Amino acid sequence: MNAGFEFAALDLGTLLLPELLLSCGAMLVLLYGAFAPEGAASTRRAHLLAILVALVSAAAAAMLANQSPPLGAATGPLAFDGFRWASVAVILLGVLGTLVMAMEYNEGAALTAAEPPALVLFAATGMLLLVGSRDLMLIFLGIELMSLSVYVLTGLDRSRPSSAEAALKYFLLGSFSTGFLLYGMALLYGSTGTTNLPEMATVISDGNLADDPLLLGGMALLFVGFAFKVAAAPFHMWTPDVYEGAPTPYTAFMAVGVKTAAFAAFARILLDGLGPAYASWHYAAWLLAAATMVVGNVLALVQQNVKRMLAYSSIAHAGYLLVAITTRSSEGVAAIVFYALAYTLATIGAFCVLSIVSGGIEKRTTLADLAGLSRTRPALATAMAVFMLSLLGFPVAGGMGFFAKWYVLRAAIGAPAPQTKLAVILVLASVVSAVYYLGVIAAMFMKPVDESRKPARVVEPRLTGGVIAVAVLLLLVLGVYPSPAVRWARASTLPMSPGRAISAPASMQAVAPTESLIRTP
Amino acid sequence: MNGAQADGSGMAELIMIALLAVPLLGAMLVWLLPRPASDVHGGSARVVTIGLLGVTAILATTLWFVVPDGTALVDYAWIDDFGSRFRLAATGLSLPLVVMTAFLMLLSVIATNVESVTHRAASYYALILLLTAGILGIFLAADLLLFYLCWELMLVPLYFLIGVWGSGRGPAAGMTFFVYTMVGSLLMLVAIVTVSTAAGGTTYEVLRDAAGRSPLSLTSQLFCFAAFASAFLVKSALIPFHTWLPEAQSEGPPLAAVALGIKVGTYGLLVIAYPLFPLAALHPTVRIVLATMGVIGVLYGSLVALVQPDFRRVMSYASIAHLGFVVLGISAFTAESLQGAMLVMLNAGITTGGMFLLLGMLRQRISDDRFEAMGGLARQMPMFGALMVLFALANAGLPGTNGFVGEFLVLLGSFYRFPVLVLLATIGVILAAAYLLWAVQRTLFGPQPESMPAVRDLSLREAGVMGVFVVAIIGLGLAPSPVLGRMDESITSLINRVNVAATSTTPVGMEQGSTR
Repeated sequence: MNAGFEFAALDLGTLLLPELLLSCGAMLVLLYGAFAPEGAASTRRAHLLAILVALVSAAAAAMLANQSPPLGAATGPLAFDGFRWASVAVILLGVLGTLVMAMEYNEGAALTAAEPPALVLFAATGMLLLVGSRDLMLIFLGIELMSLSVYVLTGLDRSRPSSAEAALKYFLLGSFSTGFLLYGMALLYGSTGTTNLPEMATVISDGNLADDPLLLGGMALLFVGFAFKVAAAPFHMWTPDVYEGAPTPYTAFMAVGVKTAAFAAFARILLDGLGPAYASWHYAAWLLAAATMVVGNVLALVQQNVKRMLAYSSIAHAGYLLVAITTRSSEGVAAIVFYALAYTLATIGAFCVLSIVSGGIEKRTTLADLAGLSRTRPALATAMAVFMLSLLGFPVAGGMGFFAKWYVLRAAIGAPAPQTKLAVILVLASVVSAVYYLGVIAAMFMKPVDESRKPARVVEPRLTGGVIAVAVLLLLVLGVYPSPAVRWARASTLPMSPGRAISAPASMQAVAPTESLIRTP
Repeated sequence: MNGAQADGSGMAELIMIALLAVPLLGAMLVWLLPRPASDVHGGSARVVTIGLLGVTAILATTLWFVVPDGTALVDYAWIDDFGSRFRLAATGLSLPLVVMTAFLMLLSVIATNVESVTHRAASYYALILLLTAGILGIFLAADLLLFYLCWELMLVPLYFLIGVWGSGRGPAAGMTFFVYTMVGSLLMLVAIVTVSTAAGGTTYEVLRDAAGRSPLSLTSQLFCFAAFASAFLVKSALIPFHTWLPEAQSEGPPLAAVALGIKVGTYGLLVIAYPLFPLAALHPTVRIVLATMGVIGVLYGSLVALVQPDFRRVMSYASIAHLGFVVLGISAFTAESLQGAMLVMLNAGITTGGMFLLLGMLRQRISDDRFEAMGGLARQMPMFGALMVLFALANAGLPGTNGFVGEFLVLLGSFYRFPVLVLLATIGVILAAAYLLWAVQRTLFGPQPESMPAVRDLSLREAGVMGVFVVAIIGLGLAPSPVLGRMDESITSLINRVNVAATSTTPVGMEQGSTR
C-alpha cells in the first residue's frame, strides 16, 4: 500500500501528463487573451492555440498509452488501463471538433473572446481526470472542474436570453445533482471505509456488503447524480432546454465530451468499484436503460428544432450505452468505447452541419431551416444524411453507427447474464428513432426550400467543413471495415473486480466470476 | 478437366466480385460525373448507367455458365473479431435470381424515358446502381453479417427513389416502407446476434454447422425463426404485413416498383432461416401457420385486387397473392414445391416487373391512370394492348407461360402435405384470372372517356424492352428445364441438410415433427 502511494507521489507528473498539459495550455490561452488586442483575429488565434494544446495533450496520452503500466498502477488513485486511454481519445476527438467548430461559429455569432477556448480546455482537463481516476475524490474533482466550465460555456452568449436561461437551469439542476452525487459518495465511504475503487470492491466482496443499507443508499444517490450527468431518464429534463439554449458548438461539446466522460466514470465506478454488488444495482441500471431509451426516442419524435431533437436523441443514446453497462462484461466495456466513438463522430458532425446551416443565428436550427438543403448545398445535406443514418444505426450508409449498435447487442446477448429483453427494447426503440432521423433527411431531400427562412448570410464551411468531411470519411470507412476500431475497443479493457453474486435473484444466478467475464475472441 | 474447373471457379470468383464492384463503383462514378447545366435530365448519367448495368447483366449471364457445379465461393478475411468473412457464393438458388435482377434493373432503366427524371438525375441513377449492388449482394452473400448489410443497403436507395422521385405522397410512402421493414429487420438483427454468438461466427457455413449441433434450444430457435420470418415476410409483404407495398409501388417511380417485386424476402426465408433453425422451421405448428398464412395471402390478395381503383394497385395485390404461393411452397418443403416456389419468385419478378414497366409507360402518356379515367386503349395502342394481355395471362398462370409452371409445381408439391389448403389456393388461381382480365378489359376495351387524351403506341425502344420480357415469359413457360436443372442440386442438398439437422438434433422424448 505504502509503496503504491510513494509511486503515485513520484510519478504523478507522468501519470497526469495529458491533464497537466491541458490545464497549463488553458492558462496559456487565458494569458494570451489578457494581453492580445481584442477582436476576431485574436479570438481565432486563441482557438488555434487551444487546438494545438489539445493535440499536444493527445500526443502525450498516446505516448503514455503505448507504455506498459508502471508498477503499482493497478491500485493507485489514477488508472493506467486501456479504458482510460480509449476514453481520452474519444473525448479529445470531441474537444478538437468543438474547438474548430467554435472558432468559426464564434466569429459568426460575434462572441469574440479568448476565454471560451480556455474554458473548453479546462472542461477537457476535468473530463480527462474523470475518466482517469479510480478514486471517488478525484472523480468528484473531475466532475466539478468539467461542470463549472460547461455552465459558463452554456451561458456564453449573454445577448441571448435563452442562453442565459439554459446556463442558469443547467447550473441550478447541475449543482443539485452534484449534491446527490457527493452524498452518495459519502455513504459509499461510510459503508466501505475507502474511496479507492478496487479497494472498495475487495471490501464489499470480503465483507458481504452487497446488501448493506448504507451501500444501497449510497448507490441510489450515485445513480441519481450520474443519471443527471449523462442525461438518463427520468433525470433528463434539463437536457432539451440546455441543449437548445447553449451556443451550438458547446451543445455539441455537452453531447459528446460531457456525456462520454461522465459515462466512462459511471462505468468505472459500477464495474470496478461496485462490481461485487452487481446483483444489487443491476436492476436499477436495467430500468434506467429501458426508461431512457423509450423516453428519449419517443419525445424526440415531436421536436421541430433539430438541436432539441438531438438533445432527446442523446438521451436515447445514453440508454443504449447503459445497456452495455448492465452486461458487466469486458465485451460490454469494449462496446461502450466503440459506441462512444461512433456517437461522437456522428454527433459532432451533425452539430457542425447545424452550425453552418444556422449561420450563427441560433433560431435557425429547425427542420424548416433544413428544408431543401439538398438543392442549395448537396454535399452538406449528404453529410447530414450520413450522420442521421449513423445515429440511427443503419448499416453501410450510416457507416460505423451500425457496428456500434451491433456491438452493444452482441455484448447484451453474449453476456454471462444475457440481457435479451433489453436488446429487444433497444431495437424497438431504434425503430422509433428511424422516424425522426428520417424526418431530417426527408426535410433536406424531399421538401422545397423555404424561401422565408433563407439565412441572412451564407457561411462558407471552411474548417468546420473539414471536420464534417473527416467525420463522414471515418464513419463510412469504419462502417465497411470496422476491424481497426474493434481491435482498439477490445484493447480498452477495464480491470473489473471479481465479485461473488451475493444474494442474487434467480435470473442473476448465471453471473460467473471474472474468468468468464473475459471472453476470448 | 481439373485445370478447367479451377479456371472456371477462379473466373466465377472474379465475376462475383465484379458483380458487386461494378454497380457500387459505378454509383460513385455517376454521382461524381461532371454535369453540364443544360443536361437537366441526366442523359449522360443515364447512358453510363445503362452501360454499367449492361456490363452487370453480361457478368451475371456469364456467371450462370461458368459456375462449374452449382456453387462457387469467394472467401476473404473481413472482421475476424466477429467471426465474419467476406464470403460470396453462387448457388443454384441464387444464380437464377442474380441473372433476373441484373436484367430487370437494366431493362427498367432503358424502359423509362429520359424526360421522366425531371430533377437531380445524377443522384437518381447513382441510387439505382447502389440498389442493384444491394440486391445482388443479398443473393450472393454467404455471410450473415454481409447479408444484413446488403439487406439494409437496399432500403436507402429505395427510400430516396420513392420519396424524391415519386408522386406527391412519395415521402410518406417511403417513410412507411422504411419504418415498416425496419421493425422486422431489427428484430432479425437481435436473432442474428443470438445465433452468431452461439455459433461463434457469421458465415453461413459456420452457422449451418452449428445448427446441426443445435446450440440453441427449441424455444430460442422458435423465437429466432420468428424474428427472421418477421423480417423476411414484412419485406416480401405477406398478409398481414403488406400494407406498405401498394403505397410504395404506386407512389414510387416504376423502377422502384420493379425492384420491390424482386422477392428478396422469401429467398432469405428459404436459404437462410430454414437451414439455420431446422427444428423451428420443420415444427408442425410453424409449418401449418406459414402455409395457412400463404393461402390466406393468395385468397385475400386476390379478393382485394378485384376492387382496386388502378392497375398498379391491382398488380401490387397480385404480387402479394403470388407471394402466398411462394410461402405455401416453402412451408410444404418438398422438392417440387420448392422448385415451384423458386419459379414463382422468378416469375413474379419478370411478369409483375414487366407489367409495372408497361404501366409506367402508360402513366407517361396519361397522368390519371385510374380505371374510371380510361378505356378502349387497345384501339389507339395495339402493341401495348397485346403486351398487356400477354403479361396478364402470364400473371394469371396460363399454360405455356412461365406463370403456369411455377404455380403448378407449388400446388403439386404441396398437395401431399396440405391437401385442403392447396384446394383453397387453387381458387386463388381462378380469382387471378378474374381480377387480371377484368383490369385488362377496363383498360384496353370498352368506351373511351371524353377526358382521355389521345395517346401514341409504344416507341421502338419501349417495344424492344418489352420484347425481352416476352421472350423470358414464353421461354420459361415452354422450356423451364434449364432453370429447374440448375436449382435441382441445391434444392436437394438444402432439403437434406434441413431434414438431417432437424432429425439428428431432436431432443430425446420430443416429437419428430413431420420431417418425413
